[in-house]
Amino acid sequence: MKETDLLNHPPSQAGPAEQFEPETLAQNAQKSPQSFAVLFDRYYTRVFNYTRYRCEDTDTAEDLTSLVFERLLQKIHQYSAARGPFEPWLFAIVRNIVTDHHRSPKTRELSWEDFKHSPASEPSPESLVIGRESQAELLRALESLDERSRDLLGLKFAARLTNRQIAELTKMGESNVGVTLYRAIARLRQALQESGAGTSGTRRQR
Amino acid sequence: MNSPRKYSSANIEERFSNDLEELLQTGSLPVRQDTSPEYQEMLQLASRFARIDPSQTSRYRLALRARLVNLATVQHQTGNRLSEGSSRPAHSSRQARSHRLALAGKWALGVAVLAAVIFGLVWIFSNVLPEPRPEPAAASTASPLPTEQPLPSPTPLAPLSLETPLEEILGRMTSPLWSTLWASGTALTEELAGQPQLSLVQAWIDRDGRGRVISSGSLPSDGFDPATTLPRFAWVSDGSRYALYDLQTGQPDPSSGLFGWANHALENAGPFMELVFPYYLSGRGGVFQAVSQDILAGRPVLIVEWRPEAGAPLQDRFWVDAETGQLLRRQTLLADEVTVVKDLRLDAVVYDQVFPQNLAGMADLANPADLAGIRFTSGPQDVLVPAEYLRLPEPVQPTPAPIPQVEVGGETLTLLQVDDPVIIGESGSGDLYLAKRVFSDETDGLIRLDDACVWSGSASCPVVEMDYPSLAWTPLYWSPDGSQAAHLDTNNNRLLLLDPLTNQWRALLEPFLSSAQLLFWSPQGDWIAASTQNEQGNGSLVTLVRADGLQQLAAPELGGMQMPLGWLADDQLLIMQWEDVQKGQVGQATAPTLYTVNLASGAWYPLPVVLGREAVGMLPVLSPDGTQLLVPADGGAGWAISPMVTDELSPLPAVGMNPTWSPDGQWIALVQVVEGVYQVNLVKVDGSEMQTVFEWAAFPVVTWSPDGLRLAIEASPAQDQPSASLFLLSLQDGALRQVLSENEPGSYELRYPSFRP
Repeated sequence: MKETDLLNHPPSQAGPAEQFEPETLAQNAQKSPQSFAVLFDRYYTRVFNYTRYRCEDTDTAEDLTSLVFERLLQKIHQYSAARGPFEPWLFAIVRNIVTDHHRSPKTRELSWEDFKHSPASEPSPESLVIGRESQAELLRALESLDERSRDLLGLKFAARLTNRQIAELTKMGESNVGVTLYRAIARLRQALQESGAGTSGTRRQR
Repeated sequence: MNSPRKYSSANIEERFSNDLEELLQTGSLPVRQDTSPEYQEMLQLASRFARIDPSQTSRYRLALRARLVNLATVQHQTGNRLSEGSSRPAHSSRQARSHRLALAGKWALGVAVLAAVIFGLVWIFSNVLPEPRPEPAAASTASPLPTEQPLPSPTPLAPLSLETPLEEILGRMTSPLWSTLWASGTALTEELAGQPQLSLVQAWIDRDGRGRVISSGSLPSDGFDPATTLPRFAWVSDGSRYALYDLQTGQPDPSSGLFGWANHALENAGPFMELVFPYYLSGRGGVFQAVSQDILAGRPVLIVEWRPEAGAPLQDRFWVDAETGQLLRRQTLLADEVTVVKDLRLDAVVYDQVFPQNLAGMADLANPADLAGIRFTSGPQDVLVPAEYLRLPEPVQPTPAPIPQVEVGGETLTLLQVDDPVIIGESGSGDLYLAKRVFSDETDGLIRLDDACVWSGSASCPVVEMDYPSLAWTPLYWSPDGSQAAHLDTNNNRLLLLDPLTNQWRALLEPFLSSAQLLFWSPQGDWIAASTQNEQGNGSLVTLVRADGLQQLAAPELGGMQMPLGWLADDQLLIMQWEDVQKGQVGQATAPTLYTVNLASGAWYPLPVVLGREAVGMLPVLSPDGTQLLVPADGGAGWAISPMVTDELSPLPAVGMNPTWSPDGQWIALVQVVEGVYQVNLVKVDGSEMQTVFEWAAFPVVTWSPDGLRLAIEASPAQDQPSASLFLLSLQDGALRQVLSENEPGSYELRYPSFRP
């Protein structure tokens, strides 16, 4: 895993399809498989990253992302630009699927009372490479947050929606979205400090 | 010009929102001198979140994309939108791969790809993309989804022959019909200096972008021994990244990952790949003709000659698999049509096998150690042979001995009849062994009840008491012939054996750091398979232990977390392997993979069974004859039966926990909770004849008698009970009896029932 400069090369701005508005891409996707592939290429990263924000591992994120695009293929004919922008419509589907996933019954896991895990006493050389660890560390920190905060962070950082779009999608007030994001980041910072990971690789001296 | 907005602590959230928006839009971190260090740290943290991209760990993006395009193509061609059910089989990334492979079979994927290409070309030419503009709302008004309809069946293509139109031959040889390919062959290239270069190459390729290619590097052109030739280079791709390793130095090639690709990450992995990815031929002109038919690599082939253009110094001769279009051989000749300057040849091909999920070296592209044991093999399953694996010595045959008389202790156990019928059974279940703990003095003992008494209907039975040296609350695992029982003394880290003839214990291994309470005797009783901690204490390995104490690791190269699941045959062990991430460490947890380990050779083979991560907590259960595996299905909501040799699953139409097979493999017992009541249900493997045979207020653990006619049920204490209860259930007449000691009720426990075969 490594970080990429998504700020300079965000997924939504990569590739020739960017010359089209999302709504146009969605309507083209109603007409041809190739255009659906263009839509897939444009949104795969954002959808995957959102689901990864909301679930515990990559495998689950893969499964949920697969479900999202299958659902999108089924529903794409129902989309109309006259009804609203495409991205909130898409991420409404994504959120529904993730919510269904969280609501699905969890099975009882057998206890392995003698299964002994010995924590590593020293960090591995790999873990000392900050950039390599950073992503896993941040994703782990997300697990300390409640579902609503993870949802909003996912919509903000992974889906790249505006606060207004998030507010419409979540039925929250726009200012409330901002406040919730602020508090979520504050809690993440605290969680990372408690885990000894710091916030930027330069831990504050106390 | 607007004046800067003043922020106070009261509206710090609003300020953060604005700064966050700026950060995401511009990509630069807003510099705020007038804010607290905490605020700046939060912005830095937001900046880090803005830069991470977890999708880089996604491995199935290409596969999903291809499948969706195929589905969309079918949808457009048939005019039917796919209902949710029609794409249901592909809901999981693991299931998606199975579905895609099943759909593909031998032809379907290629047909779908060809259809997509043809449709795409038609569409592009007939619909030159107009200036995009919004459609009228009415045109995209939602309509109810059509009823579920099956996908159209693919039409098999006729094998290539001399009569096949040349355009079709060309089309099929440039787009061979397979979803996965394992191939082995040689590449001979005559350098300009005249020094021929020969190499042995094997490739495992999945169309979704994953694959591994190993090459011997340069070999003597006058011949080599494939059995002793070792791979020198390995290209691996996980679908999104790839790397080239020099296996001699153990180092990645510095050029790894520098090259781009158009169709597959491994399309440039040596000259051999010209045969595997022949897209480059589609744009080539010249004279092309089919000249004859032959057999190569056991496949019918069509031989095609191709002279690129008039006067060209070189020409090619291709051997094309008549069924798949795969190029099996390419000879490049000088104009004299005799001198061969390049000869790429596949000697063995296998199409459309399930691609091994954990193909060595793909779990972590940055770890060349994963590739250390790779060898050239004779087939796709034989992936890796550990170099240092020791051949196991001949097992020691147990010597049968007459059963002597044993002393009968003073205590008797009462068999309290719970319901009316009198138990009259044949004596064939085997002696019953129970662990007994007396709470007052915290003593543990092992007691034995004679089976003739237990099932005779007697109200009480005398017991034989023996030491229970471990003070560990773990079960007995009987050898198949009942000549000894293994026991994990987890308190003292020992593996013990009980001789039921002398009632004596002996330590087989000490220390023995087991990592799970699971022991499996081999069918002949020569070996015990166990899960033990690795040296670092952060993983588990499968250890084989012989009666004389010899230890052998089963598949140490697999690493990670390993668990034995049982024996498929006397020399075939079934194990499950997965990667776990422990707290404070970095890594990626993986879904488990099943392997068989061949004890004679040490080779291990991945099985095509696709497991979800839930299998770590819901261990698959092997049938007594080793032919079927009960695996968690539907994300752990149910179970399914796998034949293990394919990825097919037969859902078990019954739910529950702790499934156990009857000794004859015809029945499965499961524990299901219904409205707070724990039921023991029996169901046949085909899902029929489900019946509830026992109910309790807490979790019951079921043990089958060797004849499959009785159950011993250890019922956990219910809320108002101080200790567990033990019941014996006859499945012949439904008689249920509780086993009680002479001790004060509640002052002891009887647990871990086992039947000596």
